[in-house]
Amino acid sequence: MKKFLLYFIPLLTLAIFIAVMNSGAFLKQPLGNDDRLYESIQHIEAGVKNKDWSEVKAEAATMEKAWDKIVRRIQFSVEKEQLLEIDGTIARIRGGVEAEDDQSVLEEIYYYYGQWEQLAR
Amino acid sequence: MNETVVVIVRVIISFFTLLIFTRLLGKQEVGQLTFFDYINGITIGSIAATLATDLSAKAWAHWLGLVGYALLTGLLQYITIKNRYLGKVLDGEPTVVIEDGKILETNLGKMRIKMSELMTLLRSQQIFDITQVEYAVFEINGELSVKQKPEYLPVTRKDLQIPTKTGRLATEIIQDGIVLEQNLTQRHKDREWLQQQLQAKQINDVKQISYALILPDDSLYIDTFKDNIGKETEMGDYDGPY
Repeated sequence: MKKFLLYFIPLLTLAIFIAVMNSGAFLKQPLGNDDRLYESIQHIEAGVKNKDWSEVKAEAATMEKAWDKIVRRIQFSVEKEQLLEIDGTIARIRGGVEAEDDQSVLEEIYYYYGQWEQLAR
Repeated sequence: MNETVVVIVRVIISFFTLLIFTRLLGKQEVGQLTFFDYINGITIGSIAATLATDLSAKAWAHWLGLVGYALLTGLLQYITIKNRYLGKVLDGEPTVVIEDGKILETNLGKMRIKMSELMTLLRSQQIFDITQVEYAVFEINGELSVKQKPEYLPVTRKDLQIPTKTGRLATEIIQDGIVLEQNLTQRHKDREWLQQQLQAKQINDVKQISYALILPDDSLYIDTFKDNIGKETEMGDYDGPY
């Protein structure tokens, strides 16, 4: 039993470390109803295209909350700069929504899609 | 991103990965490391430190680098043990640098050692007269092994034909007031014997003892927590505290 634990504990430790460091790709996906960031941004895109600014503004708040939740989960497996970049993109989307500037919002949304693809890869 | 939490998690990953890999890579002492082993160790340590604190890159990338270095180190260790020729190619081999008091300049040059360094290494071996040296070998870990000419070697018990006894090792039997039963049995002693020995030294409780050994000649060495020493050996020049 002792010999088994002698090998099992280090192997388990390494396995947990590997899982933590690679968990980002899984943990960026929605695990509940309030962390659906990608869907939220797709709603914003649809809203902007339809010029439905009241709905877009409500969705922008949801987007920010969802992002905050995802960051807490993936911070151990991604680069700090990547998180800061997406932080910036989300802030610019929010600004564009407040200004009701559909062109800048759409630019940022498509920039975000690219960042999301690269996140935790 | 909560940097504090992330760094703490990364420190845990880095620390225990390093611990596991260094245990796997064996117990080579620092003094026995070759120049390459030394640099390799520094590189592994540096990657581990970066893994813990450099948040600008993924922990996984650093961790893979760490594993890569550890695996290659393990592989080279295996090769040097299994294949004598490759072992010599990878680790180098000991080189004679002084023979019969004469410095072998070509070998010295191959090992990139300066004359002054050679003299320093000799002096560190208590050799102040190079003519006393029969052979000096520069080892792969950077140390100099010196064989003096027989006429300069100290006389041994064998030379004088004085009978000797083969020595044994000392065995710990008490540590911090706890009797180590297993070690006591190893030396074919029991609690009763221990009690008698302690009573002979006026010690009533084993808890008063910090450390006790059975010496090679079967006598008992005891160090109690109370040292009862005066201030004569006090080294400090000031009252302190400092």
